[in-house]
Amino acid sequence: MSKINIIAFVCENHALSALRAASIAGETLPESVKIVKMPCTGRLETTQLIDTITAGADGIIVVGCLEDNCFHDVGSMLARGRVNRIKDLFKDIKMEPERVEMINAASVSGAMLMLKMRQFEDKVAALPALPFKGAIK
Amino acid sequence: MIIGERKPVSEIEKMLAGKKKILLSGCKTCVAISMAGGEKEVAELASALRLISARDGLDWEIEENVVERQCEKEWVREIEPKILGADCVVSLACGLGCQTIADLYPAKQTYPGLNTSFLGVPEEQGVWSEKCLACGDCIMFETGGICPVSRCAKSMRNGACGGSADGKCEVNLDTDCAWNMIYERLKLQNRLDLITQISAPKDWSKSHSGGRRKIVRKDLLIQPTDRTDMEVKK
Repeated sequence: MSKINIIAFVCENHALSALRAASIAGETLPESVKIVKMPCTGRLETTQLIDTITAGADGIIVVGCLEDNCFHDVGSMLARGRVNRIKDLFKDIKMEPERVEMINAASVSGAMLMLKMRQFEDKVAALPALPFKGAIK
Repeated sequence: MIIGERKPVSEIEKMLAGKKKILLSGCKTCVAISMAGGEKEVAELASALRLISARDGLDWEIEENVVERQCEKEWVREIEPKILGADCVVSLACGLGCQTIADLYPAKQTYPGLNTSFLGVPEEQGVWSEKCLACGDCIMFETGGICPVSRCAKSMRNGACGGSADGKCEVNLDTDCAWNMIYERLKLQNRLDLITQISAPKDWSKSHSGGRRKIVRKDLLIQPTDRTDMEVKK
């Protein structure tokens, strides 16, 4: 597998707690994933998602709270809407919409989150390489 | 307000073939509220175009700008150096803003980045609905403040068409029947007498059907000319 870069925008509330729980349980992050801690995924703008790809990421995963238990009430719903908007935009400009995904996680679902991240890494690794030579190494 | 919707980026991309310096110009008024052409949307389109440029090696130089009201010459003139310095302008304002730039700088190619959709209101976050057709002859004093011209699919003038059921329009079941709403509103206001009155056929010549409209108010003209003889000219 050639080296890929995945940026994970992770909510610092339930989602980050899930990652910590997984870490305590001995799980490790997939090698390609770099974490960007967010106060709330609802703060993520569509512009940031596009610019992250232009900067050299091969895939983006947004990890927010469960939609019916969001720390900031509607943050993860806003994030899902923006992720879906970017998926539509990518389809429109002939890029793979699979490069951007949203995952919702409770603080107790660390193992599930790690599994989904590994699955996402495999999926992105199978996509054609992007030509961007950006800031993300 | 004027409600718009951004064109697909692929459509905008086609307009920009062969260009290098591109100015994206949004508007802080109506289309900013309808989340189609304000500061955020200009930034989003700029990011998308930069992505395409980097992917396809197009070497586009994209500048972002948002004016207060793109339909007014005074505000547009403030960004004249940016307009003149670009190969083309993509307007993320409504059709009025786009034409204001195009008319002020006729030699500059100005493209619409939005489809101007309708005159409407925000209903809730992410939802806008049409409520005025700018028909030029408002009759809402007879209809409880509800416009049947824009809110009835058939623009009925004298009551429901007969096709509505359970308060919903037969053309689109997601839409409330305007005349059912008018009935309920007049009932609430104890003005059901209005619904039994027969209204004369609507004068559509005051709408766009009568050709391009123009309003001249002579009290506001700074240099009166023979135009001052006109109150309203089509």
